Amino acid sequence: MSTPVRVATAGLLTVVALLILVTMVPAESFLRKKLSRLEYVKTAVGLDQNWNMFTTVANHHSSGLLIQSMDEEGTIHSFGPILPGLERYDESRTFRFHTAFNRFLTPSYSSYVQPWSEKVARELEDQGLVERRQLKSFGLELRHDSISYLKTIRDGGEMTYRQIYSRGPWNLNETNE
Amino acid sequence: MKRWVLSIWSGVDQFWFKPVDARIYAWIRIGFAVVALINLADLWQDRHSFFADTGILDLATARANAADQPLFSIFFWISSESAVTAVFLVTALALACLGLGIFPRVTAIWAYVWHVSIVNRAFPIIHGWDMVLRIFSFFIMISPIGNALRLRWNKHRSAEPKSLPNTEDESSLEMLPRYGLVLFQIQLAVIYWQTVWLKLSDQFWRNGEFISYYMMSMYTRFPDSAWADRLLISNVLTYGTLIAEISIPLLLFFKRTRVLGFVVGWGLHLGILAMSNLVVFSLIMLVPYLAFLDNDDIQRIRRFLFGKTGRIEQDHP
Repeated sequence: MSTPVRVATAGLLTVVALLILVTMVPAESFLRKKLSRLEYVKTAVGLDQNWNMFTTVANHHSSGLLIQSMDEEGTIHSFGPILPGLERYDESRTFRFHTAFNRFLTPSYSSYVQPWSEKVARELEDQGLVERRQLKSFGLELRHDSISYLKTIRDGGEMTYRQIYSRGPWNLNETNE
Repeated sequence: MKRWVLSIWSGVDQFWFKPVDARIYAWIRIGFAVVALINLADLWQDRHSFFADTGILDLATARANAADQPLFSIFFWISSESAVTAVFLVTALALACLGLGIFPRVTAIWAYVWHVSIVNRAFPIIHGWDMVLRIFSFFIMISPIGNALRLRWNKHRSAEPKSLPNTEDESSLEMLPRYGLVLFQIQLAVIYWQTVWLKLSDQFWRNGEFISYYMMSMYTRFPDSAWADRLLISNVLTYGTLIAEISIPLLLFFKRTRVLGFVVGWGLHLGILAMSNLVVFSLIMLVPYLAFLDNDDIQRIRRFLFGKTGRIEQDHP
C-alpha cells in the first residue's frame, strides 16, 4: 500500500471510529445535537446504534396476541394475528412478534397498524370467515402477564397480573371498502 | 515540524496497520458467519411475515418511514413470498461460503447487504443482536481477509476440495493490518459502556432488583417466583453485571488482564446463554473478544492446545 493510500485509509478508518464513538455522547446533550449530521452518515453506512437493551426492567412474564372478532350476535371469535394465514402467536418460538406488536402500540410504529388491519380484513374475507361466521368487526388484543412488585410476591401475592392493551375495533365492511 | 508530523503519523500507522496474525480475522469471520446463519435460521420460519408484502409489516409504510433517511433494503424491491425465500437461500449459501472462506470478499459484501436490508425493511421486529450483526458485517466487509482457515479448491482437480490448510505450516506467518480488529475493539467498548450509562438511570438496576425481575420474565428459561426472595443474589448479579460491563473493555485492552477479560466477558454471555432465551445475542457477543488477541496470545493458545513452541515474528511484513 503506497503512503498516500495508507494516509487516506487511516483517515477513513478514523472517521468510522468517530462515527462509532459518537454513540457514547449522551442523546440529551447539546454536543450530540451539534453532531446530529453524523447520524445521517451513520444511518447511511449502517452504523447507527443505540444499546438500550434491558435498560428498563423486563416485566413481562408471558404474553398473548389475539384478534378478537365479533359476529352479528355479539359472540367473540379469536384468531391469530400473524400474517399471512392468521397464524396463532407462539411466544416460545420467537420474541419478534411480541416485539413488533408491542411497538405497534407506540406512536413511532403506529403507522403499521392500519395496513395490518386492512390485510387482516382481507384475510378474514378470503378465508370465508366473514361470511361463514357473520363477522362484523375485529380488534387486536395484547395480553401481558406482567410481573408484580417483588414485595407483593413476597407478601403472598400473585407473581403476575394481567394487563390488556387493544387496538381497533375495525368494522369489516368499512375496512373492506 | 517534519519530525513531529512523522512521529504522529508513525503512531497513527501503528494504531491502524500494525501486523497481526491472519488467523484472528479468520476466527472472527467464521464465528460471525455461524451466528449470522443461526439468526437467519431463526428468521426462516417467519420470513413471509416479516419481509413479504403478505406479512405483518406493510412495505409502503416501511418505505415511507425510510423516505427521509438514507435507508437501503433489497426487500424494498423484493416482496413476493417466493422472491423472499430465494433471498434467504442465497444468503444462507453466502454465509456458509463466508464461514468456509470461499469467495470471502463477495460473500462478506452480501452479508452486509443482507443485514442492512433486514434491519431497514423490518425495523419493528429488530432486536439488539440484529444491530450487532449488521455492524459486525460492515467491519468484516472492510477488513483484510487473508488466507487463513479457508477451504481451498485444488487447481488441477477442481471437483475435489482440499481439507482446511494446516494452519501451522501454511498460514501461521501470514500477517494482516489490524484496522478491522481495532474497529471491533472500539465497538465492543461502546456497546458495554453505553448500555451501562443507560441502565444507571433505571431504578431496578440501581436498587439491584433487576435480575430478580429478569429471572421471572419471559426471557429466562426457568422463570421462578422464588427470585422475589433472592434479593442478595439479585443484588450481586445486578451490580456484578454493571461492573463487568464497565470493566470488560479495559481488561481486554491490557495484555496482563486480557485472560481475566475473556473469563468475565465470556462468562457473562455464556451465563446469559444458559439462563435465557437470547441465543443469538449471547453468541454474537463472544465474537468481538477475539479481536483483542495479539500474536503472543495466539502462540499461547497454540501452546495450550497443541503443546507447540515457537514464536511469531511480531513485525513480520
